Amino acid sequence: MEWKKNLFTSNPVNHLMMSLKKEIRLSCKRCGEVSLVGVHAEGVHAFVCPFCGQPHLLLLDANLGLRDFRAVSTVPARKPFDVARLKVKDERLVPASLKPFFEAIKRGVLPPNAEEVFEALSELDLLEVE
Amino acid sequence: MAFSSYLLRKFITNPGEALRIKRTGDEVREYAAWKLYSVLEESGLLAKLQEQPWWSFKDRDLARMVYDALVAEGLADSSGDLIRIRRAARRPAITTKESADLAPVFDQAFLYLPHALETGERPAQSEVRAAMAKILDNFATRLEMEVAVEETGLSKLGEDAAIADFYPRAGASTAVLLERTKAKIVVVEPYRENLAIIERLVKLTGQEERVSYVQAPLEGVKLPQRVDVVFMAEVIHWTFNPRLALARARENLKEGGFLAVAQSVYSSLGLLAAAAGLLLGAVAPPPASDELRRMIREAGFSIEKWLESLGVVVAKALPR
Repeated sequence: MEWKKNLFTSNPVNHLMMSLKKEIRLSCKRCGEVSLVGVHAEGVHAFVCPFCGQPHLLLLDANLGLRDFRAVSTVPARKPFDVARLKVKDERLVPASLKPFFEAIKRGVLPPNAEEVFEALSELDLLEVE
Repeated sequence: MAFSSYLLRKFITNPGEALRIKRTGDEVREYAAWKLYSVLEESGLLAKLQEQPWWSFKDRDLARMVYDALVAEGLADSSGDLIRIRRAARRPAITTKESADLAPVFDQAFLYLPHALETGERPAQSEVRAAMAKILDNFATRLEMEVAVEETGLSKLGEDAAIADFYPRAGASTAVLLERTKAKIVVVEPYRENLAIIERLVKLTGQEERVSYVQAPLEGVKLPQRVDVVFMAEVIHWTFNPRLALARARENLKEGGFLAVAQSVYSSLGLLAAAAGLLLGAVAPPPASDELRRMIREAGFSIEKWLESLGVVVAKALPR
């Protein structure tokens, strides 16, 4: 199996994807203060404004472009000055009621009530915060 | 009336849907049987099951269910309290979204089976919270609840009617009632942590004004107002005292109200699903079909409608 591993890590495209890192400017939806944060993976992230404590959700595409950024009432993680990536531990166990919302997020759309989805996933112990 | 008559009627109005429901049931049953067999074989327990009677295992309820399920699926012959393996189970093809959605629950639940059989210890609730939610809230179980809503006439109730949704746990029954009926829903849930999840699911549907909540044990619940229907979806074997829960259901019904039940029983797919359920938080094996009838009658109901197939019962009962 070692050769497979080497093949994967030596592939320049994969290597580039793995090392992709970007700094983005986030302007707090509540107080307007700007924070510069480093991101390195696509998907949904939680961000708490270090100036006023307002929680936000942001969605990054595969190129780490900001697809969505919005203030929410709560996020499952509190990590000021940084962003926390939200990941589902086992997609197969997402309950049917949450599936449509979860699929929308996977397709790159944050539903209007995204924080409820993440809170529910968190209560089911399905959410991983990186 | 048999469940097959429901499928027959469905076949006349929507043949594709009827065939899909039938195929889903068959696939889920075959997958669960295959998974059960594979886990037992890989853990070396298949040999033990042929040498030791079911009652010698630490978890007797579970061992008995495993014995009975293997025999019911034609994978083993019963020989007193022992079994003799007849043939190996085959992995079925999964072709419907409902069976694809439920299959991972069997993968997860049966992982705990060898340890539970040998030690009598079932996994802690905190360890299996997501799988517990999934076994109740998946597209296959929803199909069962949707049939119950349709067949017991809940879908015909008006906006002024009230349905008490007894013990929704992960909220699947609440979601089905919100989708398929116009009535108001009173969620009756004993556990605060489940209520938190249900409230979030209701918020996601944007229908908060239709739902009210009562936190109380089923065995002692007294609703602020009587309701038109009590809906009990896969509740009996998840409740410590189902007879008391049924009696409370009757007491909380208005004049002319009724009980709607969707429930696994001790046979076929119901037995296999309940074995997984027992590892994920159910408190007892499901009742046999006759036992369920008796429980409903003894709680003061007369049974008006009874559909049964693949170990799943949909029933409507009126207070006597």
